[in-house]
Amino acid sequence: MEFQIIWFILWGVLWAVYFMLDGFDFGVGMLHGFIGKNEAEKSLAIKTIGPVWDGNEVWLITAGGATFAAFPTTYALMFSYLYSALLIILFALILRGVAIEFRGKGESAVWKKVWDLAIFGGSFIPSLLFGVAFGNIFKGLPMDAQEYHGTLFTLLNPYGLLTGIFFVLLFLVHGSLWLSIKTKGDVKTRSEQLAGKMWYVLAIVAVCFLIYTSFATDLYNNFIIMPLWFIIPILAVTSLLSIKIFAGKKWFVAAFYSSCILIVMVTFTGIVGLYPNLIPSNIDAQYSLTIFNSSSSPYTLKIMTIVAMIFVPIVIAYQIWIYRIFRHKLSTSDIVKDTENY
Amino acid sequence: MPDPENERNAMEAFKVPKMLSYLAFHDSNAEVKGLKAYPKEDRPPVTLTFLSFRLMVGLGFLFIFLSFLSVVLSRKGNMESKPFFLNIMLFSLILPYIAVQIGWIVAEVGRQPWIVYSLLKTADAVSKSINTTQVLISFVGFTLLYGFLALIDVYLLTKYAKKGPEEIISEMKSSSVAQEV
Repeated sequence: MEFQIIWFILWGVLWAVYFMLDGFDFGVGMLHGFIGKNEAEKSLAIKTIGPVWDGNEVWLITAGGATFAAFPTTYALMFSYLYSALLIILFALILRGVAIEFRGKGESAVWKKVWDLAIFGGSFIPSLLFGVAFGNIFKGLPMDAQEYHGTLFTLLNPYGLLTGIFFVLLFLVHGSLWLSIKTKGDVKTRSEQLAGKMWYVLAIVAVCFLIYTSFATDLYNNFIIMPLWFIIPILAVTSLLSIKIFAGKKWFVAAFYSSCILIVMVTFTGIVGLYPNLIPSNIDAQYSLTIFNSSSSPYTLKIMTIVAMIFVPIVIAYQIWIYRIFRHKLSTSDIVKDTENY
Repeated sequence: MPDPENERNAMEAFKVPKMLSYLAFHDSNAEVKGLKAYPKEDRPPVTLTFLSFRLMVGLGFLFIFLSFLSVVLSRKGNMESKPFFLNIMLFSLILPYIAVQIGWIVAEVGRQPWIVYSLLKTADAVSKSINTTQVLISFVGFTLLYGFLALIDVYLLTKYAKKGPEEIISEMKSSSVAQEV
């Protein structure tokens, strides 16, 4: 197999794993202020993501790094064309990161309120804008050989916004399922109820997204040419349904894993549909950035493949290790015993 | 002190022969091309690079000196009774940050007009699809955000430094007991 194709698949895997992992801590970040009715409960919600959120964001860095090293032309043009949008995401992620660490370092109500707001905004804005960015990539950007014919507001078109809302809802359900399996007591009960209710909204938006995609993008063409690939969107729909079934039986661990599969399959539906483009041009297909016209040299890709084969398993191993260490369920009584609170 | 107009140094102090040859090529007899060997448009802004480099290296030697001094002064174990020296150390906290920043000035300004040395000129590397307003907004944004975070950092560092280790530990113990009840 050609190295470009290997790296295209890896590029997809990195984004899918990133959304699967950072998705639930974005969800918790958006929900902690609503599910937590008092300071101890809010702190508890943040505590469930405390040891893992930064490791999850490593996958974003690797996704960006893989784009840079494997497809430098796409990287350069994407960061120029989507400059303002990506900077807003960056600012939000910076604020969110420090907010998670800072909120436990002060006692006053104003202090907590400011950082809670930063955690909420820093979780909501990237969730929405990653959706908007991917919606626009699915749709294609208005670019020709010379430049990008759009602004930040061109991105906020109906399809981009729908994808953004879809992402936000995916992460909200994902985050509330995470809280259902990681907490005890009132927070758990509220998270379970919220996941059940929000599932209906997610299902409606998911159906709208699937239908709108056939009008707004060319994503389905690859599936029509090779119908075998339809297994991926079918798995996405199946896992969406199984979230509801498992949640109904109170099997929240199974529901959370279904939600993981759902996010991975949604991402891969987009990735398969994009092939061989990384960013299609909606002006003319000849200006599209494909994995062949924007990749590094075969030699670079070969070295990177070897490096990735060594280090990706190491990263996966230590992340699994972290999740194992912090696998215990938390309740508000753990908050007061601990001196390193969020 | 450099004098870029007349292509010479207006004032020189502490000359060390052959040092630059050794630093640049690990060989004290290697030839270092002078700035005059390069066309004017390929030269970096001289004065800023010159001063930043000297200040950075000067600070580096100051740190070595201060560390050495603190080893000597703490030999008898009565460092706490030397408030003058402790004050110097306290206010030296900011200096490594300054050294890091001017080190970047040396690296970034000193490399001009290249962005990748001898491969790509900065002027050729400018993105065509980003306008100056976008760059200005992001620059102001970064400055404000990092300025804000710096203030919070100084506040928290001061808060915890003032408390001292014993007070923090006892506070943690008492608060966890109080909350549990």
